[in-house]
Amino acid sequence: MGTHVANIIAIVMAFLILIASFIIPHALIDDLYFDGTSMLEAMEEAVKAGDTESAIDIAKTVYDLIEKRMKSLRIFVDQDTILELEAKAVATIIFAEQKNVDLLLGAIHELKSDIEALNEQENPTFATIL
Amino acid sequence: MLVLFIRSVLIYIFVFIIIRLTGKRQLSDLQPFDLVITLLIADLASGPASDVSMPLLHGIIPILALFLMQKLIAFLVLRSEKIRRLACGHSLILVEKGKVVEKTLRSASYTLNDLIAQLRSQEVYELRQVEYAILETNGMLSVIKTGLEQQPTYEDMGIEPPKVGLPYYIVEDGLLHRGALRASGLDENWFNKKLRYLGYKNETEILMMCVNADGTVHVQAKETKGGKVHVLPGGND
Repeated sequence: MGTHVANIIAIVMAFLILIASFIIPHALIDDLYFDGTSMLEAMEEAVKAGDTESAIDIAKTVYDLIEKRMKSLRIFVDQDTILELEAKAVATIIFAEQKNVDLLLGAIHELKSDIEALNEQENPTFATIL
Repeated sequence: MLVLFIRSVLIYIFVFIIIRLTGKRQLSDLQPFDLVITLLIADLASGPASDVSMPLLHGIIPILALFLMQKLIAFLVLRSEKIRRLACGHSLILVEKGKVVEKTLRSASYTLNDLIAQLRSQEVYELRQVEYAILETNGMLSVIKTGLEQQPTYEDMGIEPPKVGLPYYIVEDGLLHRGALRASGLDENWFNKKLRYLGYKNETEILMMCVNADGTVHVQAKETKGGKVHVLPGGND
């Protein structure tokens, strides 16, 4: 009887941990994906329009967003991914401040594709799984 | 996280199929669905344990996925005969009426050497001693010896059999197990009386005290107290 109850508790706990670990990162990465990509697109437009001041402001906001989200995602996402995203966000600020349009556009695209890759992991397709 | 979970489930199914197809030789006392988890779990746990940049959940999620798969298959195996046959296979008769069944031997990927080695491990040294040898679903070989090789039982010989039951270890390394003492139907008064009778002050001087099924009490003192072994006859006195 004891073993039976322990088994049921273990199965229920396993389900709860799994459900929590699916829902929490999913919600956090969704936020990062939708807010982050729209901000990066706005930054790209600002850069192309020559508005570097706005680009710097957006780059700082993107960095804050990434830092905030990554703090919560630390137990779900590996350290290398977090450091890489943060480093790329810092790079966008530096390039924006240097008014280096080519490098800034490159950094924006890289950051965007990294965020998209992270989002793809949480919303996997058959190809992502395999 | 979902990717980790689904990948773990896919790997479980894949390794399970491979183990099932490789045959019973690989099983070593476990059913295939148990062996898969034994094989995979250590590797999954060692990753996040040794690599601090990897979140702990990257180890926990796949292990939980394997755990749930194992529970699911164990449940289905209990419920359905068809799934049991599919997951565990069925036992194979390798020796039938003293004759090796070559076809079954081959289908189990067993060589004659393997069979003879397995028989030796069961203390059967000649094939003519074997009436039946059955390869169980967990890879163990069960042997039924020929009538001539069977050991006579107490019943065959008309002798009163000894009393069988569980031995209770009531003292282990100087520690008194009160639960075992109660389970053996004895109490602390009895225990203290025995200690005084043997000349010991308390349980800390005893390495081991066991109450056997026939009531005899086996006691060994600690090295520091001479390490003497006492065997006391049964009875509650």
